Amino acid sequence: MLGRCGGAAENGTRVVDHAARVLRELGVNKVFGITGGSIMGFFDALALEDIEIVMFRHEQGAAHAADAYGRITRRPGVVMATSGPGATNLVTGIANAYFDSSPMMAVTGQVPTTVFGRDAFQETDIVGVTAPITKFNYQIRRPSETGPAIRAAYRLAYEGRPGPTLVDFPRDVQLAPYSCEGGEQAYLPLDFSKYRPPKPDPVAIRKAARLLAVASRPVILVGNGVYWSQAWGEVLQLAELLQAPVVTTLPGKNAVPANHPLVMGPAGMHGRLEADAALANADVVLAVGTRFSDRTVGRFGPELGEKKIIHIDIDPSELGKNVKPAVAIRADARAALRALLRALPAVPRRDTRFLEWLNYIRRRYEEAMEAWARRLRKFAPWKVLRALREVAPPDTITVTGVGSHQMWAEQHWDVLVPGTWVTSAGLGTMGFSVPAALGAKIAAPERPVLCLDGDGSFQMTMNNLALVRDYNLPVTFVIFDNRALMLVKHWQIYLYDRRIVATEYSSRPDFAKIAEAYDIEAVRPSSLNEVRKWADWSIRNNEPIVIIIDIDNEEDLVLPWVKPGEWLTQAVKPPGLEDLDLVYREDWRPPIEAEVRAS
Amino acid sequence: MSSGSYVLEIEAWNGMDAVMRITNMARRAKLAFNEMRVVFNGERLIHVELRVEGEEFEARWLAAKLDRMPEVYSVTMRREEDILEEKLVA
Repeated sequence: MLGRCGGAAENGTRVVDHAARVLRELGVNKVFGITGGSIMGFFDALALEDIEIVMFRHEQGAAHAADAYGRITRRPGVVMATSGPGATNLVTGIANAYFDSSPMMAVTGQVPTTVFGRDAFQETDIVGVTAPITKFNYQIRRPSETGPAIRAAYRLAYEGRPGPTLVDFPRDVQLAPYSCEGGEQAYLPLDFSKYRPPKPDPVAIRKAARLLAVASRPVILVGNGVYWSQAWGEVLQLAELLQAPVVTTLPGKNAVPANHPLVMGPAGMHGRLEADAALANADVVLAVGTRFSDRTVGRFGPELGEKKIIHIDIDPSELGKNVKPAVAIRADARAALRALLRALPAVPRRDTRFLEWLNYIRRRYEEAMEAWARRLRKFAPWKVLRALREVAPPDTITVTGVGSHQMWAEQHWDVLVPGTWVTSAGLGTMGFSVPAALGAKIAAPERPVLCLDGDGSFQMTMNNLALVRDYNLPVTFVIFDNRALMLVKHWQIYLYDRRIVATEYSSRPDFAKIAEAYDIEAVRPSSLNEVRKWADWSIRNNEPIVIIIDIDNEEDLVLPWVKPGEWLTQAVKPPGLEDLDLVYREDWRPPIEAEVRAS
Repeated sequence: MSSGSYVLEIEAWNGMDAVMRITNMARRAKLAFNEMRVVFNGERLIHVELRVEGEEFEARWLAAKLDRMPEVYSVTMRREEDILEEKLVA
């Protein structure tokens, strides 16, 4: 029970005024959203409380912005929408935050309680709709629940494993007079204690340490839980101690610097070859803060079952969900890694040939990509990414959409500072990039934000470009324009005998004119130097720009690629690497050494 | 992996909405559902008894997922035959 009105205004004000004051007390100073009949009362109260309302052009965009804002600030982004279509337009954004474990709180207006269930105008059971895609959702039915519900939803969004929450707020409750006589509970009667991770079990830690100490080819698999736990220092310390390669999931790219020599990059369906090879040939896998997505491991058996897996996760329901670990450790990633570092004995010097082999694969892979780029008629996406990386400061926040550009970025964009990579991984939401980049820029206005998008993904939410000038959000937008839904076309080429169905777009619209309509500079570079020049201009001058990169959709095949249901060593490799075997052999020698021996 | 019949007992808060959220989670489990009983009390507390059949692994997955929900106070999972044995002994 709070001693006073839980931050409420005086007795007699509206419930929404109390709700706005509670948000202010929680540290919320801006919300993303669109108003409407059932939420305008709350918007009115937000304005009176000096909480900024960032007006998106579609609720989905507002939700993605809140998601990205939450990832960057590490506090929940707050999104609001009216009842009915406003609320249902949030659904994709909420699901995206759920599958990427992102802290976000949604508040939806609702029709008055008096007409519940009567199919009133713009009535939708949004609590029912979002139940499977929220960490918690709740409909306020009495004024006295307002403060407890908002505080609980906000806290649950970030406590333990982050995730989206939703509070549904009927119009009559919003506008009812607020009285705090008798005080107010701080929270709804929920069990928050379950989100506090226990200390790592010392028995499990010792067992894990023993497995790692005797492993021949230990590999560390990093998920985004490492970012939330801020455990990248411990990951690298452990990797150096064990001389173990580090591979990541797609969201886990966010958690370790790509320029560390032991970081091999992301593994999986569109992972890097050296990362796929590392994970596939490991005898012990230390997996930290990851749910073992099928996109990361290709398939769950039988190969994965032959490895000894140590799985660290804050969420006990992830342990053993997709793979059976030899050791399961429920703990905060950082705490568990620190305990492991303390428990590890002096590790005997390990044969470094496995690492040499992985670095050999990396060299061959890079050489093959260079050769491939020389043969392309238009831009090679990976060369564009390298050019952008050269001019983007290390702390640039990079946001991607979903499609082939995202997969190229997975493979070839180097994340140099943890916490600067924002992508839609679990749900794979086309249209994520533009509004998420705006949300990231709102969260960190002093840092450059680079929005990598594809033409298909861009067209889904490009209406939110209006905010660039409205709110002074100078983002560098780069559109990889192949006029196709290229990842699907890629599957059609490989898996559907090249039957190209509903994946090629016309040349409309002209993206330069779209940019012009929103008062944003647009360019179509004809060389990598021009790409560098315009990106540098945008970043240095803090000016928005749309850079349109012409890509040939007959050539834009993202390789390497592990076909669905296949194992990592079966990856389809880029041209020129047909001889490269991703199965490690103990007698492997570097090519020069092998040639000398043979002669 | 052993399969069998299991009883999940769940204590939770928030009345019918909690039943809806619990059901949403349960329907994703690869289990056969034999019975679901819910008892409500006036304080929006609910007691749910779920009788399921299938792999123990799946039943454990469901119990773990339910236990992660903030409105769920407790989840216990027992084999149906253990419950019967207890009754016989009693």
